[in-house]
Amino acid sequence: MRALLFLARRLLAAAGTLLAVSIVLFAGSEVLPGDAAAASLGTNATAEQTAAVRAELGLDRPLAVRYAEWVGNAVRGDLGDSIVERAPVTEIVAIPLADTALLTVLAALATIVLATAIGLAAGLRPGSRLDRVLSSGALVAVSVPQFVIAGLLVLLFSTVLGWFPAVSLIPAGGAPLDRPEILVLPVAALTIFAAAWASRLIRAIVIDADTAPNVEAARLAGLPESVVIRRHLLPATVGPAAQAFAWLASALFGGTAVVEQIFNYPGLSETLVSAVRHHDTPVLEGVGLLLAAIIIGSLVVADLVGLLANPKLRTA
Amino acid sequence: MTPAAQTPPTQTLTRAVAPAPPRNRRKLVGLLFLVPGILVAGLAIIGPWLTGADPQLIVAPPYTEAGPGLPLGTDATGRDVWVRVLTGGRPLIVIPVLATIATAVLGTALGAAAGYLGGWFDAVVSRFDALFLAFPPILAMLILLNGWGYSPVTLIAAVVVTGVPFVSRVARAATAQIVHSGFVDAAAALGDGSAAILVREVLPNIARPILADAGTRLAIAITLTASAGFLGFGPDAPNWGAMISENMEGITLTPWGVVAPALGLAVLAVSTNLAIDRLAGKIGT
Amino acid sequence: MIEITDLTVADTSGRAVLDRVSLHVSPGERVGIVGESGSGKTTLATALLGAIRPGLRAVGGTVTFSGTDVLALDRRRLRALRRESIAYLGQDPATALTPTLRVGGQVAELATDPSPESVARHLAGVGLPGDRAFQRRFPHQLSGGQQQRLALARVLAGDPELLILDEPTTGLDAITQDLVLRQIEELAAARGITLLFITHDLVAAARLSDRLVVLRHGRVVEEGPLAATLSAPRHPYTRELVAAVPDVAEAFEKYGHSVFETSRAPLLEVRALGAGHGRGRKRVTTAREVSFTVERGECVALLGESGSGKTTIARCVSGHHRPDSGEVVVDGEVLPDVRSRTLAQRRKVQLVPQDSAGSLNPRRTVGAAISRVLKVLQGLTGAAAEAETARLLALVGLPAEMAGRLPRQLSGGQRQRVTIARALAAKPDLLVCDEITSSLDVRVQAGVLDLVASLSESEGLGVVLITHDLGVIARMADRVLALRGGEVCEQGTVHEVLGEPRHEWTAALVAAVPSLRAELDARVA
Repeated sequence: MRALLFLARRLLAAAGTLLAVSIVLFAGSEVLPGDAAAASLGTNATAEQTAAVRAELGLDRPLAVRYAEWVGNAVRGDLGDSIVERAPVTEIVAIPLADTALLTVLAALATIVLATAIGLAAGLRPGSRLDRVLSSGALVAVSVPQFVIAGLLVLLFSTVLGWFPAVSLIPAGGAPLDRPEILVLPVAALTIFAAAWASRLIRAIVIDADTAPNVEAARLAGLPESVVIRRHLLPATVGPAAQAFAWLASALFGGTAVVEQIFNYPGLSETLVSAVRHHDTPVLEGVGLLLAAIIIGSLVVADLVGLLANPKLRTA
Repeated sequence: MTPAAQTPPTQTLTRAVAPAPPRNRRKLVGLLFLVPGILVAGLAIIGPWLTGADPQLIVAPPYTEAGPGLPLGTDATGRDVWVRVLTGGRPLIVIPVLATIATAVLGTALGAAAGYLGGWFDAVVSRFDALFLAFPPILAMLILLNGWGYSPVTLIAAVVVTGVPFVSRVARAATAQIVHSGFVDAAAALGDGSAAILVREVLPNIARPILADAGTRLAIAITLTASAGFLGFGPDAPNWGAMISENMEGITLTPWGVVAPALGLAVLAVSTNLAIDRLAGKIGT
Repeated sequence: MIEITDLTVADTSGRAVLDRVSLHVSPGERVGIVGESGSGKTTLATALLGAIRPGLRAVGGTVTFSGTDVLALDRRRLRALRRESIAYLGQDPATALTPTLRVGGQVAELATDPSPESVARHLAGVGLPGDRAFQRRFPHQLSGGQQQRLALARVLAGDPELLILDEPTTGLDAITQDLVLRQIEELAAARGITLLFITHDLVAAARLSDRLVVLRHGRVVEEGPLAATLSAPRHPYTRELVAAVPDVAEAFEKYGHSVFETSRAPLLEVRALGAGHGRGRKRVTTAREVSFTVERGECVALLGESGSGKTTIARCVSGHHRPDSGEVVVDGEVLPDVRSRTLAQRRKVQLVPQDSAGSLNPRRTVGAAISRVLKVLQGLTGAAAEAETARLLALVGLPAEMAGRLPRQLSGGQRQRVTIARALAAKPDLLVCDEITSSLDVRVQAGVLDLVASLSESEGLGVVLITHDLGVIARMADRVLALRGGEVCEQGTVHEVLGEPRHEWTAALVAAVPSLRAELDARVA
């Protein structure tokens, strides 16, 4: 009952945040200079031509009116039309989004498994040799830009060893899943960064839980270490770990933008980069809104996991 | 409301927490980690003066292997990789450093003020943070690039907008911990205003976590700046990010066009992060 | 049962935390180990469990329990020892409960017989209901007192031969402390459990031990039967320790308490003060209609448990908290909050905060902290300020070279003295002292209290004393306001309130307050 109430309140707050995000997103992309009309006509267009295109695109109307229309349509699943391609944004974005989602979900799963394992191994023995190795490795991996990691992977696994393709070639009309081997290196590049990043958080969470008085008391009561970890230590880490993993959605997207380019992977990155080049603002806004919704959604899920893992919140 | 409790124990009876190495040794190790980063940064900054050659000049066929006169070979269009490495690093130092300083200053001011003043100001800052945390940095950068086109200011703005919420949260949490301290009360009792208390009493005591965080911010700024170049948003002059994407196809023919700038970036980011990690102590993440 | 011989534990720099400590405990005995912070008493207690804190090392001596060498046991045997023979109850026992485990599970996982019936018996043993519904509750659904008992039931579930109590009552109010000690006493007696009671509190030790071991700087300075040790201590340190124990009854006789007539122009007059925390629906009122006066030279105590509103009231007086209603009047002037006060008004009222990590700015030297007050409120700079700083430090019993130290280089008692010196630097008329002794060892406590009392007398300072400790009140205060839930439930002279309490809570508090003399009398009888 209380959980449902909490969920309802949390969803309402999330909707509020998403609405605020949409305002910032819209204002950010429409108020800034850089006019799609001018851009689509090239540099030697006359003022009349520009004005005509502006009128056609509806850019001459007040900002508030256009925002209301955009949000109203977005709620009904219509993100407007691309200026360059003259087609609905949802249509243009659908396939690349699915391809990027495939990459991201695979990397997220791998990250959760790896980061949990590394974070636990390091956090349960802080200061040990294993911890020093893992922690330094993680620090190095989060510092290096992802396209550098990707470049090194290509150099090693396709150039030198020739195990995996360096470029994601997909037959026309095909999908990445038709050739699963092209997924290996991009997912690995994404996972190395994200797992390093998340494992640092998990390590800190585990250390924090490990120094709690109830864990110490359980050890002094003579319980076997496995029981201490499973029953007394881990439950306290579930909520914070869910919070940490919720940020994966954001962190992994940042990675896909460059990693896809390296491998010529057919995802959102190319869509976005070309949208920026051609000032195709509706595409940018649409993708931005979708991503924000996914990120905010994963934060809600994390809060819910935290709620369910904490009897004090669950039952009180 | 009793004053803040004693600091929590960092060691427990039953857990083997290895004692931290002495402060001085940590500092020394931290400074040692900084050396390679400073070397690369120094080379990147004075690089353009070291070579008089034009980085855009085509000197040999594309992807010529390294040899006499061409220490790192040529790139995808036959330009000298060594000359381009020397001239293409400066924006990756200047932009991230400026952006990180701006982020740290702005985020600290917002967060410390929010933690100290509380009330509606705190509520507004917290909402603002939550809002901007929902934007992946790359997306924010693309939106700004869409509006302003490439310029160093665009990249700095992207780093600041996406970094300030993080710094502000760190500063706010650190401030909230000491805001009810006896020494803050004592300063108020002397008639110090909020600004004076923030500068004299709060700032010196929250500097450590913020400095620790600044290392992460700098590494992210370097990555973001290089990513912009990599995605094709950069000056016409060479830059390391763009070099990697330009020469990726020829990596099998001659690796230097990718490896040299990648190595530069990696050393820069790793060295800063390791150094800050050692110098500031492992405070959170 | 326990045989510790010449146990020496040292830290990495070689400093001995325990120095050739020997201890013999026979089955069924109740031994109190008494020492101040830093005496090594916790290290000694946990050494019995084979746990030596990282960074410390047992460099000599042996610890044997029923013939087995504890320090030489492998992990498996050590676990068996902890599980079957030795129970350990640490400070604030409720924090030992894992919040995600239900009551039944808490007890069952350590019980020799984990069946629900057996768990119910263990729960009943500490006075908790053992029914199914109760066993399915989570710790946070229990009251604070029930949590304490559950923690006790948990450690006793394995039917241990020895129970080590490590300051289990520190931080509890007098009434709860009384309950917990009584419960442990009865259980140990009924089940024949040997007790090792580690504490800084001589009075608590007197209740629960037959033999006393006094530890100082890692050495046993005195050991003997309880009554003999306390009534005729041989070692000067033990004598000092016994003398410093705040004893309500003794303090009454020993210290003078003046009766001040409320004058027409009191130094401080608090009129119908109301205050609270939080905003909107979460607003909690912490003080309601509180009125009192303080005369020059008078010490008025605000007595209450945590949450009684005493600190809020004090902070309203010092101007650090804005009241919702009512007025704070000093010398006939209504004072606004601290930022709106004039220089003269700020000077008159000074707050002395509880010693904690934050009472002094960790980045500023003692001298800088004091001289800044001198500069702002007295206009003193340079050599004059330096001389005055030295005078103030001397006044609170600290050498002048302390001025160059940072707060972390001082002990708790020294830091508390510095905060008093800092307050005095303003030449105040009224000192507001917020629990200034609660984090200090008893010997240091006594010194700080005497210092404030003599200053109040010599300089005619009015003092508002916030405390939960009747011993402190008996020693210091002239008048008492007892606070309960933000309201004054009783007020009067110290003799009235402590001698013939009228309110039920004050009466219960006075009845529960521990007295060393009463404990000893009970023992001898």
